[in-house]
Amino acid sequence: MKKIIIALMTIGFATTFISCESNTYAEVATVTNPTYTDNIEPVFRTQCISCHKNDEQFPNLTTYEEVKASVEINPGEGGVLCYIDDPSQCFSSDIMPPTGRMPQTTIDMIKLWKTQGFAN
Amino acid sequence: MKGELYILISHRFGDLTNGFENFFGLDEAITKIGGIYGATNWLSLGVSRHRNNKTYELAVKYKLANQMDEGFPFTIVGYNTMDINSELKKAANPELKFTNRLAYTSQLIISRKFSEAISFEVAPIYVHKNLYDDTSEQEDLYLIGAGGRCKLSKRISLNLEYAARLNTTSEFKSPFYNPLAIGFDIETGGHVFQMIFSNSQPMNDVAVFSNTKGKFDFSKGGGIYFGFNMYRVF
Repeated sequence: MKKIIIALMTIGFATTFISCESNTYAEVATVTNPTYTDNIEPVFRTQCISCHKNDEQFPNLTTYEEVKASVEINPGEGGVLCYIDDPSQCFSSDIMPPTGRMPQTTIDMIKLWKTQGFAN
Repeated sequence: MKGELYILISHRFGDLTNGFENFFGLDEAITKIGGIYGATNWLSLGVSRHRNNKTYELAVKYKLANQMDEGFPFTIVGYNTMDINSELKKAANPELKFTNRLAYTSQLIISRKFSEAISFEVAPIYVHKNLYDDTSEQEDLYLIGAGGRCKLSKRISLNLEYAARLNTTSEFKSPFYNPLAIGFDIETGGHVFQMIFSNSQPMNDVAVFSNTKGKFDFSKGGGIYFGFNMYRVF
């Protein structure tokens, strides 16, 4: 009993100390020249392709060409940027991914990748 | 209770107000799977894995005081959770440290059983995030939660839960809502089956208290999520 209390208090204090240092997404997301391989593909792999593969959900987002083709579309006409940023522009109330909006910094990174010409 | 192990599986479906577009949410289920272990009669430890942010949630719950028939009027329980977000990618966040993946909730749950059928609870809640989006989230969030339970029959009860965020200021416009849930518990010897309507699809405490997306509004896109929890004791 005593041991458990001591263990709990230790965890409690450790937790408090770790909690002191918080960062914002802007502070940790410092990608200035995003490339598909280093920065974009990992995001699509974890956020999108559990559904957007093998024609399960349109469009497929598994390769550079597929992702580029969908990010290229102007937000007002559908495409990835519409669904992840402002789906009210593209006839749908559902944000992608369905589990919740990605951090703004990640959305901005994908936009920057487009602006800089889709580096592979 | 000491030595007991609960295995739990929960689902929350997508927004049911979207109707046939996502078949009332059934196309978009997310899952929680975990266990709760009673280390002593007053302490339980929990681990669970959530689809939301591929989160691992560690939880500890400890009883500080017990309601007595002719004595202390409340049961007081402390409850802490720690989330580990395993979905964050270094690729998108080069300066990410491990501690940035962590987020915490602390609650002091003060409850009273008024009769065989009716219980209420009030809980001050504190949420802290080691990584937050300063355009939409807060580093520290304080809430006051309340919940009630009414037994409708021997095996069925109706439950209601709400929490109000206290420090969302007027200059900071939060895109999130206060969490609200209404559900039924059905006890079937060894299992507890809960059916629930909530305005939060994610189930980890951090997300429920600070990132609830739904308005709980019956118009399209109003954000009502149906789901169920299943507990099995071993």
